[in-house]
Amino acid sequence: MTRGAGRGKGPYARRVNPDVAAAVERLRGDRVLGDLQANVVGRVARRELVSVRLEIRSTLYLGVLLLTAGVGLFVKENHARIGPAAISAAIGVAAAASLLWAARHAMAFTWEEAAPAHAGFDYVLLLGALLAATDLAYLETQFALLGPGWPWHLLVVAAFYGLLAYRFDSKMLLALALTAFAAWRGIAVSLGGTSLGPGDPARLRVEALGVGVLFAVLGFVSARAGKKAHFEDVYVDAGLLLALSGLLSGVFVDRKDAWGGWLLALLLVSSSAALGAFRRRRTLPFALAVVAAWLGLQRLVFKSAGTAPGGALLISAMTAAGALGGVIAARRKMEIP
Amino acid sequence: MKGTWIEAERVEEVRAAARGWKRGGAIGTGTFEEILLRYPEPRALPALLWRVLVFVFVSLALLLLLGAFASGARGNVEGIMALLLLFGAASLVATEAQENAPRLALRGGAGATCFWGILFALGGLFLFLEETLKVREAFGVTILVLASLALWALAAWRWGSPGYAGLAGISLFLLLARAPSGRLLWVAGGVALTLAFERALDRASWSPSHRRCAAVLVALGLLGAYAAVNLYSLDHRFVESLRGSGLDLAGPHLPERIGAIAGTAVLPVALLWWGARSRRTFVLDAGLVAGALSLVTLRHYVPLAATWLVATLAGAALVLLALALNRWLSLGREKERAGFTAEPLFAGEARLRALELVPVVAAHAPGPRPAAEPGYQGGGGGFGGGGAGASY
Repeated sequence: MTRGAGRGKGPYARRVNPDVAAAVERLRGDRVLGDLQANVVGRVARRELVSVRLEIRSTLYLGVLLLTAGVGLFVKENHARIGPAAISAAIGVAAAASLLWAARHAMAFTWEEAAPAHAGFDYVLLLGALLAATDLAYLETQFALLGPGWPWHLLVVAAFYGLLAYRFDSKMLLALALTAFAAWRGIAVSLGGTSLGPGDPARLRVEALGVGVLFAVLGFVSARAGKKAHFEDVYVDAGLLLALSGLLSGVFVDRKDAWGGWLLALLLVSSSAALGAFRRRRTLPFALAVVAAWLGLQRLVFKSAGTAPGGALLISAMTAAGALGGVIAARRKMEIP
Repeated sequence: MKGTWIEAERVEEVRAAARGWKRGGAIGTGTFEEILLRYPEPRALPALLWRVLVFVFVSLALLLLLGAFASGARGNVEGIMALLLLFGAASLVATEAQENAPRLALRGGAGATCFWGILFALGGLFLFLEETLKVREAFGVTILVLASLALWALAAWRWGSPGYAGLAGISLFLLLARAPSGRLLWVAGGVALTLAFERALDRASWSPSHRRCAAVLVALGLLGAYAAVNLYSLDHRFVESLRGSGLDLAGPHLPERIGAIAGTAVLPVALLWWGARSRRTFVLDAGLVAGALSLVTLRHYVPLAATWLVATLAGAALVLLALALNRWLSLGREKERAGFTAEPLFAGEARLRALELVPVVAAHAPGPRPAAEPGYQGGGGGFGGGGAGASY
């Protein structure tokens, strides 16, 4: 089939991307591309060679989601009937099989970035890690290994995820390790949530700030030491997200009328973060800092407006326009696409 | 769409492809620089995150400004209607102005003004129909959906965003659902949409963005037709219920159900076959989605086993299937078979892996420990990190 297409015959003769396919032929004619190069890139432009890597990875992720959900349901519905020893052994075997597969297909350890050779590597590793963590949690609930200190198992899980992340160079597991660590400190890392977690907001705020600073420091240390320097963005982005969430919680939730102080702190931290991101040409931390500062300012705008919502909305719109102008100017000066 | 915009898009396609070739190691830096010289950047294209940021702040500014003026109208419906129409028109004019200026095009701002401009215009039209013309609700909604179809289609034609084409396609299906034989029209409309736009997918005379719009419409046509023939959708009268609430809908007849059973089983296979034969990954993806929905439908009607067993087996099957497919492709000559490969080719896999963090963290982040720790209570723990999210 492919050869037929190459001759412009058969069911696949039509070109998928006429602009690129035409450019390839022009570049070949002008000797910018050699024949070998033009053949390789031309085949892709003409859809004679198509990658299904995304489909394979998506199918794997869906499989992992279903498997872990199925295991969770199985444990919930059957643990009284089958018994904890058999259940934990079964989950342990499945986790070990997945992790062994990952170990067999892993690249040799390096402090540098190492892209996986196998399309399914990330998700089989994720499956093994999640099953192992589930097994640990199950063992803890059944056998009370840590007694009253059972939340410490979250720290164990964080360390386990972290170890796997460093060994197998997985940002996915590093992100899960950071969320497990935050969970150990009582903080809910939720992309859509508005609360830092259950319990005293004042304590959680301090925890979020502390954990956020710790993550950011770890990111800077990683980058400076050149040990998994590419993990820096995961550390720094997670740290910034937590710290800014803590400060925003102070601005909007604090009941002691101390929101002004929190707002000042938020503006200082977000300005510093935006400046740092600007200098290092990092888009995501810059965006997080700008959005957090704008959100915090809205408390001041609406508090000052009193009973005149129209005026507050107008000022709020002006602050959004101002932030927009800042974003556009910053992007131009950062000179990044 | 203006000729200058189309030419700019064609150059951007080649530059984007060249970046992929360099990333994939097919060309060196010298060749890459030479290609960029031959295809100079017609308009700077900021990274996705910048465009999202601009979209968000333009949206906020627009909505807050509208809110400020609307609060001045003090509940006067005619005033609010005039405001919506005025804001809608102004936003659409602003979109055209931004697209005409290479320094402002493709920055997220034009997308925000177009999106909100059309929604404001539709809101104004709704108030005009309801409050000024006092038309019947059902007729008013039909007019509104028709206007939505026209506006999104015009926006897609003029500015070439696949998102607008998608919204136009959704409006079309909503409009068809309002007819008495809505379900049949969904099948006919889906097939017609697919056949009409499939021809344009590779048409050189179309701009790259219009070809992407065509791909969105083909995918919507396929999924719309599938939604109409799915057995669960038929039994629950999903399409018919889109005509409005409170309708006395009769249940489906036996021949209809037999047709739906056949459609639920056959259509995903047909899509997968067409996707594999044409090597169009978006058709394959539509087939995979339809296949997954058909399996869920089967599970609903035929309780094969306990939910945990079905989920575990289905998950294991998917993992094994993906690994086997990867292995089969990798063992082929030059790591390809029948024009398919599991290699990333020239795609930016690092970026994809970064984006994958979001759903993984959203689904698997462990829940926080409880606030109070009154002491360990046996059997009361819980953990969501394994995806279980349940107490044992």
